[in-house]
Amino acid sequence: MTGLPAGADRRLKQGYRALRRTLPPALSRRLQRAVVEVKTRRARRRPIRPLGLEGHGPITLVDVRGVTDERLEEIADEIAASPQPVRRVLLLDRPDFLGLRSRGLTFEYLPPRDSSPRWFPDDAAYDEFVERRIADIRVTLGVTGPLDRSFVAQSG
Amino acid sequence: MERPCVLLCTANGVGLGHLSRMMAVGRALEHDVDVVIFTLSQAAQIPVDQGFHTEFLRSSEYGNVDGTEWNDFYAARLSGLIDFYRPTTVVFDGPHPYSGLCKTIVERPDIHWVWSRRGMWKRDIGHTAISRARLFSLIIEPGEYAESYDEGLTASRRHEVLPVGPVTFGSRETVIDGAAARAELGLDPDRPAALVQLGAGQINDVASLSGQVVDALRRHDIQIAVAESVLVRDPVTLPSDVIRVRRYPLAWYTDAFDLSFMASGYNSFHEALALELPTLFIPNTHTKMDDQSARARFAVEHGVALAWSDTGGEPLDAAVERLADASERARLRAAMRTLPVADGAEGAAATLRLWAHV
Repeated sequence: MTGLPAGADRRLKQGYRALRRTLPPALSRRLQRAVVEVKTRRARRRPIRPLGLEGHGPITLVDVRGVTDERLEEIADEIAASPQPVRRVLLLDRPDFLGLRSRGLTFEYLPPRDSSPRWFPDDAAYDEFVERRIADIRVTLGVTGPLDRSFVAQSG
Repeated sequence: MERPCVLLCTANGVGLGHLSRMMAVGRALEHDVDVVIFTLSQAAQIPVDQGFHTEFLRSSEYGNVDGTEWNDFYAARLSGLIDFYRPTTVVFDGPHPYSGLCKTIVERPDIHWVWSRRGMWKRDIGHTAISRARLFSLIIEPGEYAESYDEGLTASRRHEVLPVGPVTFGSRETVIDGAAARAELGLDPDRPAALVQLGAGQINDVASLSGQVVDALRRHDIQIAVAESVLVRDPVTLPSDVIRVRRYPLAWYTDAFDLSFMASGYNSFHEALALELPTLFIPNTHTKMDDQSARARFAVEHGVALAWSDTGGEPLDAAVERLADASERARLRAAMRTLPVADGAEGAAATLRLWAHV
């Protein structure tokens, strides 16, 4: 990930995670964002043209991770009935796409926290993965606004 | 020491063939290699249910976007996955290496790139795809029982591939005991049972293939089970004498059935023959690349299965009647026993394992 030999890279990662655990939460969060930004920039090997989703206006990323099946159906119906639904990209952590596809909605899948202890050994590792993926999605889909967490907030 | 990682990428495809092959290889690899499946199939739930760490990207077919832009999208995601998971080897199972994939291959020469390229392409189809073969470090060709009937572009390129046996996710070791499978599916243990795998959605249309097969089966003392794809969101209402089977992998339930009716796609064909399920193949001639008719011809000419097509030969109900005959099924089973074992997943995994550790 860093371009360093695997052993050094692993030690660097361990140190970074230890630092994140010991820093005050706000500082830890800022450090994480900075690291993700650097990693994403380094990983980019060519300019990426955002995907041309049909319609006009801003593209938003709508967080629906962790909502129940029933709630996801309600949200999908609500978004499908809204203007330019394709430009509201649902961010899911479950791989059940049939209902979203049948409604013509746009969505992105993130493997959930518990999907792999190998890749996500702790919350910090998973948070980093999510930050990084969201940063990638922003670039490739042309998302400019903040992550819309209103549906998750409503679901408690 | 950190275990090496292999990233198994699949195309979307009409059915589950690409995903099934990569899961078969992944299962054979996973005891000493970390496997990540990256699929475009909307059936991503399947590898997740099978315990694979799975990544998904919407395919161009339903992503509401233009194909060229989608390739950049694909390349960006694939590059991101490589940065995060750091695989030593990336395998692509699909008939056509996307330009987004090709760009990434050129940008990442530090990785072993493998194309899992099934043969049996329709004649003179796939020139662009075949020209991209040179980008890969290795091409693995999943075995094909009907290899000698292959008239597609890959048939003359066997010198450039590593051939392995047929790759199937269902194997004899994973098949559930017949009585237990019947009990689970709600089938009578004492009457023969037929599996119709020709599309449950058309079952109520008597003119459809499924409808005609079910209608012909009703003239025999045979229970009828219809396979419904796990990709179907809204199940159709089935006639009261028809049992719905919605399972994946369906091959695990093979011993619940005495006979079957299915298209001759790679997976169904090799699983049915390898697991000795007497079958009437009805080739789907509308596929873009896959020459299902050639597989069906092979099966008939080698006496390992029956086949039917709507080209004016034998009536469908006569073909169904032949398969309904227990002595005919016994003959087919004996012939199927002479076919090679479908052990291609292990063969492919053995090579990938070597490379993964380099």
